[in-house]
Amino acid sequence: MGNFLVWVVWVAAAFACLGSAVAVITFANPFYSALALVGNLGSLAVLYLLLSAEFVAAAQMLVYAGAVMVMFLFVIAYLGGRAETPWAGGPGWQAVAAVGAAGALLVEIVVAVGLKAGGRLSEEADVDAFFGGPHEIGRLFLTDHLLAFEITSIVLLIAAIGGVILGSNARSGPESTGGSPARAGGTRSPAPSISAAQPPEGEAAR
Amino acid sequence: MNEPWWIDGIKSVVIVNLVLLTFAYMTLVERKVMARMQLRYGPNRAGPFGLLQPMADLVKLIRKESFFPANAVDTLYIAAPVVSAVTALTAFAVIPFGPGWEIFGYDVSGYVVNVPIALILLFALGSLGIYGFIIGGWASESKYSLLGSMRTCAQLVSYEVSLALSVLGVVIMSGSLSLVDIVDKQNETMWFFVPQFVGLITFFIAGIAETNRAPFDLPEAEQELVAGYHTEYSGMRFGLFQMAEYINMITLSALCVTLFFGGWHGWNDDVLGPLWFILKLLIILFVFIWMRATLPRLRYDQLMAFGWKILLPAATLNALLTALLVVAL
Amino acid sequence: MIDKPSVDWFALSPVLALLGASGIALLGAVLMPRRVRGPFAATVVALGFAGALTAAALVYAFTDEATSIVADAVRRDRFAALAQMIVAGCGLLAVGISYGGRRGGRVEAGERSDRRTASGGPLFGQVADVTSEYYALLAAAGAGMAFLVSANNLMTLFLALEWFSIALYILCAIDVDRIASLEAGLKYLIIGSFGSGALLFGSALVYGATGELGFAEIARVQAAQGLADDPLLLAGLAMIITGLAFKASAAPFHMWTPDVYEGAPTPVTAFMSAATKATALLLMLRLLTTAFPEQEDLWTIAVAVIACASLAIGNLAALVQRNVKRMLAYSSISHAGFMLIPIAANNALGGRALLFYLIPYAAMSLGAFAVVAARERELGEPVTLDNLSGFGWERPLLGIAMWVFMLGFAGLPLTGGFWGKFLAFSAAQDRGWTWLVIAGVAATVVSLYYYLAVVRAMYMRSGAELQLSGTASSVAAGGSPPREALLSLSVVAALIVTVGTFFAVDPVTELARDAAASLPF
Repeated sequence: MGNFLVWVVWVAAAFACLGSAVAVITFANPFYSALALVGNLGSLAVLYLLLSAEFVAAAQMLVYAGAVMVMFLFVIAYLGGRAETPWAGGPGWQAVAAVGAAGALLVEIVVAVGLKAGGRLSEEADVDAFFGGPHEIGRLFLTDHLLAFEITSIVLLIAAIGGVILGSNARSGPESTGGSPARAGGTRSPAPSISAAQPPEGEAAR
Repeated sequence: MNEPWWIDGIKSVVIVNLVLLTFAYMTLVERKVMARMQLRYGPNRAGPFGLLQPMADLVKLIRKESFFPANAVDTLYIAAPVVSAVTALTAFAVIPFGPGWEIFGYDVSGYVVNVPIALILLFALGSLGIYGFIIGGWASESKYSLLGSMRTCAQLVSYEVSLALSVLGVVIMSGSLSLVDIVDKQNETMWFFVPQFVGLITFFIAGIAETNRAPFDLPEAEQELVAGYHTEYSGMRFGLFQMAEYINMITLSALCVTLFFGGWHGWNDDVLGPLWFILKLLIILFVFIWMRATLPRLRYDQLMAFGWKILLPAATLNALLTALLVVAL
Repeated sequence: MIDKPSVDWFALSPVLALLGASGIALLGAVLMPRRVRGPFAATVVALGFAGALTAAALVYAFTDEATSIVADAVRRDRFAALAQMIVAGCGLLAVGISYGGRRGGRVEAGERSDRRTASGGPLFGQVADVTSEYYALLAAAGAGMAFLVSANNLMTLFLALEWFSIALYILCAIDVDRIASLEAGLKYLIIGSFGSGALLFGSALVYGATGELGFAEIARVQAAQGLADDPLLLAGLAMIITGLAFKASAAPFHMWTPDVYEGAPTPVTAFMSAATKATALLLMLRLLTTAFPEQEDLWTIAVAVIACASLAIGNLAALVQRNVKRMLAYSSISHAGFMLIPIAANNALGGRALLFYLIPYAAMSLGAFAVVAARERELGEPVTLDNLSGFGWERPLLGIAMWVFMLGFAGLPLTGGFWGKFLAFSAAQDRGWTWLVIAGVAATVVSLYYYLAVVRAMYMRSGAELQLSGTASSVAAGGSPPREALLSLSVVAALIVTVGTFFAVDPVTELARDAAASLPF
């Protein structure tokens, strides 16, 4: 009974994970893509649960699905852009090549995992009751991964500083000079219209 | 304590229905209490003292046309209130309400599930609930809704940080994230509202903001935004949003009781545990209503400045001090 | 209670010095009076880099035996110490090149803005001056690199890589008024994230196959369990090499390089081209030799192929560039190829060659971009081969320096670049890969064309017969060029290192040999 239930949940979560991952990159509307990413993170959290990593699963939901993705949706909803069509004009050869390479990698990894599945991957992992709990993870943070834990905070701090620097500058001018494609180099295609991504004031939505 | 799975089912059904009943009567109590505070009578036509008012409201909501904006994104528009309501209801699963009993030879525990990470789970569910608001506002394809949902989103994310930090002190003192353990610990030592007074205050304020209640009900400030993210909703879909808000408030009050006021502990709590719990819950809910009747709404910049510049540092300092004291003592 | 690992503060001191400098510079950005913020931050960060250089030298001197420290997260050895010295030296020169420039929204004197009002002034004059933050981020990036070269497990590797990458993303985009700068930041962010993703995925696969994160442990488990041909491990190895090749801008993972190098503020480009490449290559050497000795046959070939691709693409594309920064970007791709050759050789001589090569290369790269930066400030527009003409006569010092750097890039004698290439080729020869040596020599010959084109542009025509714009024309008319003492000083320092490594080849090679000895060959 219990084992069967685990299988059902696993199959559902695994396919939801794959499906939502594909959905993220195929939706034309960024809002849907972001929602699909939320679904992806959620199904990953379920897989973590099955691996008896409850804390990681909950943290994943809290941090990624709950906070990070809300910010994504926030920005996307503000910027609007329901009708964006990144695939207009059909995929270019680079896209085809990228899909080909990704497919090759997928096959390779599936084959690799498949070859190993007969071996130790099918064995039941032996974990104690504390595995994946806050105690055990906290202990790891303070012992084996002390340095990694500390530098994570530095990485986040630098990212926050960068956000402030770039953000506070960008706010200084709702620039609307769409008409000067000239750029410093001048040797290549016109610069992407970063300024066009910001809607004029007063028209915050769509 | 080994209980058969169907007892969990029964407990879930009972709890969900109790919560829904509380929600229904909260609407009435709120209107009554507010009315009395404003020297009015409040609803008093449906049944004695207006006691049937929630039923009448429910019938009205169900029978009303479920308006559907022409441009709305249908699936998301329909799913949004459901998401909010479901996450709000699920959160109750981890809140302990009694010591556990033996009934007809069966062990019945005082909670639906006891997970070691209950507190994080609660916050995770709470943050998932935001999706209902943001998706609902976006899918309605209306400026008021969108602005309302943007406000909700910004406000909830900002205050969620303070909310999480304010309970850190409790977690440090009890040494566990499990609500059952936290309640037990309070029984052994003392109710945490005494040592964690700052934590309680920040928790309560952030909680009010988190549930979009006055004086932090900016997302639905009717003078500016009609009704915020649910402007385009009507009928039972509107009702679901409303329900989600109230249940969030009830959950938060229950969490407040659990974390700071000893949960179900009280006089003769072996038997009366759940009653103590409900009593404390009602008192907190009353404070919520009281606040709404008393305080005017903040301006938006005040709200953000308050959240980031006062509440968050206070909560952080509280957590730091608690950690220091726990290590030192 | 839990047993906390002991922390070897001395070994971490180069990183801590830089982090401290970064923090003080950030505080200064808030607390110091507005006028002195820029100089203050530059001074603090320069002191930080100098301190890191000293600390790393001390660590080098007092570390006889390589040890793993802080719960095996990082390695304390001479290899890391020498690498940290290179990074700190790069940072020191980068501060000198940056000094005097103002970073942030306002348009710098030497760089054209894409957004101007009708009156010609920059749009919205009151934009934030983030010069102090610029220096702070420079120090933070340097700290990340100094940490990365000592990384000893996959987790610290990835985190340190993100650490300096994020700082560099921001540094690239820091001139927010220039679209090219924003574009550079964005491109670097997106493609860099892709590279990090590949690296992370590869690490996950390796961890999945071996169950270990530490480099040495990975090798140990492979040997113990006979995992040498494990498909999961091999896929992971390939993806890790991919991720690191992105950072080292080796072909075919180089496509971000020209745009980013061109668009980023020139001092940042200088720092990136020298320090990032050095870090990524050194880490690649450490990782491959320490963690994957069992797959030696495979990865040496893979690295050699990447090296050849970089040589070919970098050199051929550089031939047709007119923009000097772009040309130098392609040149840096080809140099990634040159420096991958000793990695592919996988012998002690190769390790020595890489470490040696990096020293003059970093100096030349920083120096060349410094000269470009100087010209850019004069002209107020991107430096091309056309508007470089006459430069050698106007600014003799910079002109001669540029000449030396170009010759050094080409690997001609009297510069350290000669010995670098010589050692790299002899390492490949040692392995018996003559074809790799031939590829390298052919690439060197091709590269002469575009390196000498720069020299030709600087000297073959005098400035007077040219239509120069801005200050340059006034310079040509007898006015004096803007003096940037620190920039010139940095160029001179780079010059000294470039030439010095030619004459002082023995002591430097000994340094490199001792450092390379801490790797298991």
